[in-house]
Amino acid sequence: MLIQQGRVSLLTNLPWVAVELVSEARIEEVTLHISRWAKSRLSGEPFQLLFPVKSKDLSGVELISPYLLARSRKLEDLKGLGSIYGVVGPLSDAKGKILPIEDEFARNVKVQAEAEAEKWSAGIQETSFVRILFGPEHMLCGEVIKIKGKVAEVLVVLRTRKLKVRIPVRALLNLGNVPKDEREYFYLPK
Amino acid sequence: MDDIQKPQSAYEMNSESRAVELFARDPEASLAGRSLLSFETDATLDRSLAIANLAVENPARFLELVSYLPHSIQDIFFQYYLLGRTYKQIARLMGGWNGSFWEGISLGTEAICEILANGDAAIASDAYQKMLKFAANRDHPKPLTIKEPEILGSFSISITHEEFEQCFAPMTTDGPIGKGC
Repeated sequence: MLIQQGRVSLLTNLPWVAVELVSEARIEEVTLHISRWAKSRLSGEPFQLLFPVKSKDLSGVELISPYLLARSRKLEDLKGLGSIYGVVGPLSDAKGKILPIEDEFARNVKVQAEAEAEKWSAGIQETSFVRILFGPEHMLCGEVIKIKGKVAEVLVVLRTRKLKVRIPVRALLNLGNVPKDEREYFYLPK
Repeated sequence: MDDIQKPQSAYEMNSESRAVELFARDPEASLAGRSLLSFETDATLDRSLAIANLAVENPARFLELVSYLPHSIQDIFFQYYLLGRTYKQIARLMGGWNGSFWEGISLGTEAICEILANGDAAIASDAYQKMLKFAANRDHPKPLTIKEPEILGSFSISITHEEFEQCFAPMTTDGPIGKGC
């Protein structure tokens, strides 16, 4: 996921910083905190944050690189990231000077992350069994009953209620050939 | 109107029995109030932790035990313990329950303890009956249709997009079953 604000064309070819996190838990929440920080502290200045997700499921979020990557016109502006709960800060040397990451490296990570994101929902069609990955219904599983353009309608059958969730196909994870009798909304991969 | 006695919630019953127990154990300490004495702060009494561990370590057994509970309680247990969904997210789907999910989990947990201790006879127990009363009439016959924003799942997202934050759904403190965070 590439999170951006402002005129990002001004950042072309500029270096990035590696943002070290405290732990692998709650990466998504920390990414949201970083985004909020950028929105409030950089006041519209161009900013990009690459959140390079390899996979996402009940087992959590797995990243392609051990760090998030971020950039703005002045890398020093990103030192404040260390004040965010769950963030160690930008990777720096012993004297506290931020270590820049070449744009080419970040571009490669971005290409990989885009390719992985495409894979999650690849092959989804009507009757596919899927898990919702994004939004307030995240982690619920159901069957695709209709696809119109890029939007799927997913039928989720709770014990006490049925839900019809209209959601972009790319926000779904294709769970593959799960037998009909194992298709529960709380499906646990074996 | 103030004289009318409302039925106690599970929270109130737990807190009251906890206060009595602490006073019986050490009257001076319980009255001095030197530390937190609530039911929730005493890990030895927190049976929900055992349920969370069971869900992670032995999901098959967890599913079996939860299957003895009413459907509405099952929906809370599955979403909370297996999928790491928050009360707010669960409430969005089940409606009108916001403050009472904790009570549902507490009563369901007590009922599971009764089942483990007494088998089929647990149905006659106070804990099981209280849970049944709590869970009655919670079914929703009408399907709920939800339309999610088109931004969900996009690779490039602008921070200033009005629906930006919806791309990041929070999890419970335990997270989903496989996360181990």
